[in-house]
Amino acid sequence: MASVIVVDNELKDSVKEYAQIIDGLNQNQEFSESLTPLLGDDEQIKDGKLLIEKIYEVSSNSTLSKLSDREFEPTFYLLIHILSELSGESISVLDDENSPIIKLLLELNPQRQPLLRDRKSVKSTTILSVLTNIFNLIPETSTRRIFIINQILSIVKNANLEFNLIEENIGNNLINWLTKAQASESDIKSIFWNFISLDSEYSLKSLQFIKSFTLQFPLSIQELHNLIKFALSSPIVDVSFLITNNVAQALHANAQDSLALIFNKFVQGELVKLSESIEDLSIELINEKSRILALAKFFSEKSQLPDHDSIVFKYDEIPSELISNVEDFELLLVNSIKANVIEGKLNQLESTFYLTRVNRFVIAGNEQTNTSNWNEVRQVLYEWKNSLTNINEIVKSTRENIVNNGSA
Amino acid sequence: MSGESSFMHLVRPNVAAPASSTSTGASNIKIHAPALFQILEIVSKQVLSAEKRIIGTLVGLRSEDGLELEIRDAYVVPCNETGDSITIEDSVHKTLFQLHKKAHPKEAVLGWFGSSNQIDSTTSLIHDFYSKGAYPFPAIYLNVEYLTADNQITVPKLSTYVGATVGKPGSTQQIGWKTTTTNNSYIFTPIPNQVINGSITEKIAFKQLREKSVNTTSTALTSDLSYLSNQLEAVTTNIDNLLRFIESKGVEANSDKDLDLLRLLSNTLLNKPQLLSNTEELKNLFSAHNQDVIMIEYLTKAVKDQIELSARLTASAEADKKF
Repeated sequence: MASVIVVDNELKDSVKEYAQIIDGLNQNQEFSESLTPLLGDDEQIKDGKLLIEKIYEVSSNSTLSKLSDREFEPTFYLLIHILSELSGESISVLDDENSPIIKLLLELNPQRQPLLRDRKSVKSTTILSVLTNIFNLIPETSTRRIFIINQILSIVKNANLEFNLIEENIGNNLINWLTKAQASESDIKSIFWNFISLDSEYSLKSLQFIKSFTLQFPLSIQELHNLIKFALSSPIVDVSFLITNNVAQALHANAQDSLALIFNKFVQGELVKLSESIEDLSIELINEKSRILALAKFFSEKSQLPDHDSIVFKYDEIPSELISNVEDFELLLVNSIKANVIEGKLNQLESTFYLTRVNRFVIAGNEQTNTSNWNEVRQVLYEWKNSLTNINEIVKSTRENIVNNGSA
Repeated sequence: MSGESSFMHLVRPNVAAPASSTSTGASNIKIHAPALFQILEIVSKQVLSAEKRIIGTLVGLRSEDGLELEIRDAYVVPCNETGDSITIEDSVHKTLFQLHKKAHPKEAVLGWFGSSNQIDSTTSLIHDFYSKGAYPFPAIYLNVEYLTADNQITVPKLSTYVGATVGKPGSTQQIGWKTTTTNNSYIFTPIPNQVINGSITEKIAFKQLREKSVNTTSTALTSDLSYLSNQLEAVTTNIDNLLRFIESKGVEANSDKDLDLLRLLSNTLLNKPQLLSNTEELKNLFSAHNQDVIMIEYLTKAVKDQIELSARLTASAEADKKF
């Protein structure tokens, strides 16, 4: 599936149409008149090369920028169509390292926020739209696609466009496109991190993109830092799903790195104290999230102890390093429930908490804990199964009872 | 097509329709399953060779900004193609749409579907026709690839496009004294689509159909079981499957996918309510619940009988009065 241009006119008519547009912008007849000898009376166009040169000459930045936003796209598509028809092969105009037409397009991208006065002038989203169409016109295997993606990312960055405009489509397909376009591994990596850095919200979706990225590629120390900084700045609390085998290896290899150390502590549910310092990251936010994770860890460990009730917790059991007073604890609990790490019910009268679900931190590389986790899961599944069989029997026997009573 | 796609779609291109705003985001098309079946049925019955063109109208809903489209239904429109030109039976299209409009007053013409394998100048002619039908919104084009070039039937491939204009908007070319404002030049840009299955009732109906038609034997066997037992057994089978999978992996499963599974299971399952292993208590609760239900049923029945009785008494009293 790709974009297709269908023009119903003869090429000559298209050229004339383009000339009309240009002359309309310049408010004279010069271009149309200068074309008359080239176009002639018969069907054929005499000197294609000269015509191309002429067209490039008039399609300057200053002329085309006079177009309104609405007129710009159709005009530009017409230009693409004419140039590709004139040069014979349909896509060679676009599929070229220094294609002047793409240069022209990029020059037309507004460099700053448009004033209210020129609200009709060309917008960045329009340039994006044309670029995506060019991207779709170029075959999948062409290396030019890499260049276009780079340009799109830089436009989004410079124009401060919303990240969610490109998040879904580019995020899902970026690596696929780049691999098909024969990008080198280092190119793919740098473009990917470029893309991720555009997300100023640190959303869950971006974290998932990072995860699927780490499933495919091993990480260098720089990329590990990127990942850690992104994960720690994100509002998502439980980021243990990010630790895939590749990430675990990178963490292991850079065990002495200060950032890696803190991240390791963070995802395993150890408290990151306010006194610790992390370069250019907000320690308050990290401490806040770390307290939630530490609480979850406390719950999951306690509930597995044989001498402890698995779902009922008293307020005063909670270690004092996590909380300072009761209000603080309740706030922390509510925050943890909001962060989807813990589920349960609060009973303020009896100062107890009934736990129904808590996140466990399953992290690649911790083979011992994972083995015991597997065993536990198996055990619990068997228990569930037995309970279900019990329930089923109860249902059946009650049913029989009712039927018998009814007939009696 | 929310997953992977070979094309990029970030911003819907500028289309020559007055009601389309310029600053736009990405657009998305949702195809309801019944509409899809309708389209496939039309295409599979009508398309006999790759040369014959079958077209039809798509009707459905459109969000206020025109970016979200929902295809609800479709019908075929006869057309006749001779060489470069094509005639569409406009009256059929209009009559059928009026008919559809009576039952679904809120729905509008969204665009059209066709079975041709390639986009050519005829495509843009038809698109122009439908652009007027969908006026003042841009029309969409849904392509169903049903036959390959050598007339072999393939798995139907759906692609959706929106046509952006090429050239001077509403370009007027003077042919004699008549000025035509048609625009037959389009750039067809692919836009993502996804098939959705609509309401819960549709799902239930589909499930019923499947159970009745696919495994007739097993339903006959389990028909005396209650719905609850059925569901319990289904869950137990699922757990069995899961256990078998885990056993086959062993406890040293550490690949990324296994870890994802482990994370999901341990996050959701490990805290089990105590009540579940306490059979006696469960039995009590369940029978108490059943008693309640029976009690309510009894009471409703009693009340109903009372009402009926009083109605009969009044009726017979009235009858007595007459004599």
